[in-house]
Amino acid sequence: MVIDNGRVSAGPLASLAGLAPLLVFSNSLSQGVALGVAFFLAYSAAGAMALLLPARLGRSLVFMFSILGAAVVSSLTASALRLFDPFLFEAAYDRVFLSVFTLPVLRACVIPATVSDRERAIERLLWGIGYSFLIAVTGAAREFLATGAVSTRFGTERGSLLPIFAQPAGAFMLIALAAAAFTVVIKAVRGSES
Amino acid sequence: MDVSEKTRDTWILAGAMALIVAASGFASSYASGQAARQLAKMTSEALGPSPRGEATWTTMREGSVLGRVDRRGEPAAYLVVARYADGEFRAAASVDGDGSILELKPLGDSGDAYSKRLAALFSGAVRRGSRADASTLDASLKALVTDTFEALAILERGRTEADDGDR
Repeated sequence: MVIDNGRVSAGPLASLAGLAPLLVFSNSLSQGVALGVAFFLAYSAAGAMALLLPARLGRSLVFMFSILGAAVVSSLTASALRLFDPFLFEAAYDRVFLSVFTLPVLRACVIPATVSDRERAIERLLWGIGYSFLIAVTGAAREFLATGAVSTRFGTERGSLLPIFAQPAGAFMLIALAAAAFTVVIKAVRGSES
Repeated sequence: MDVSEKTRDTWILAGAMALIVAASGFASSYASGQAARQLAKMTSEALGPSPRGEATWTTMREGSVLGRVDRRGEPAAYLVVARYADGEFRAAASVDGDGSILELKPLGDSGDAYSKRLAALFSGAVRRGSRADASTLDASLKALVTDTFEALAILERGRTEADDGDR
């Protein structure tokens, strides 16, 4: 968990920082959903393979097969995206493959070291859903801040509110605001405990 | 640990992965074909259907030019996707063998100011003689229009030269 006995665990937060490349490219709801789904499928494939492959293969081989599985799933996701919306595919196909190289997916490729780690598979799956949701929400929030509206169809942006939020700088500003808000919440939790 | 058992497992997994990679290759090829058909149809319909009905799509991804539709006995059609800060402008362009733009039809309307201005600039550039009214957005968009027209001219001249070379 993020907060354990009043202490902040760095693991999930570091993984969150590892999502920065996807958060930077997620600048609209449609791109956010596409990247979120691609991330979740790659993350789930990597995690499932690391969990199901026999431990006797060794850490290196399990990691290699898991990341290969995540890459294949990303390729299938890109194909599905191409069938669904060729224009969205052209705008996002290189970013879809970026999800394989994010920190949470790389961590999911590592074979669980202990039995208790194996039993935390559901927790890891929930984190994956959370990360995907965050990518999609970041896209929607940036589109709203940049254009003043959120469109479900790619390439139909409306108006102009704060265009900087469509740029990579907007993603970092949003991440900074979220980190600041998180720090305030943590301090409030610690304050209420003491 | 039994080393031979580990080797056997590794080979089985490698074989399974090779099959999955091949299947994903087929899926990618199928998706590519379907998308090509969809984009060719969209471009052809925007410029008026070809009397002979045949249209072949070639993906190019050269700057703002996404691809070309070859229609028998008619000038080549190009699909232009010009990306700007927070959106993209899509158009179908009919290009003569010497690289001059014969016709340009916007595909859809994203409704934002950049897209509308790009449509005006592209139309003005195709008509050449007519002077479009000025806008504060022109400074950031004119280079995009010029680059797109240059790319279209280079691609079409290259294609016709290659065709002439084949004959």
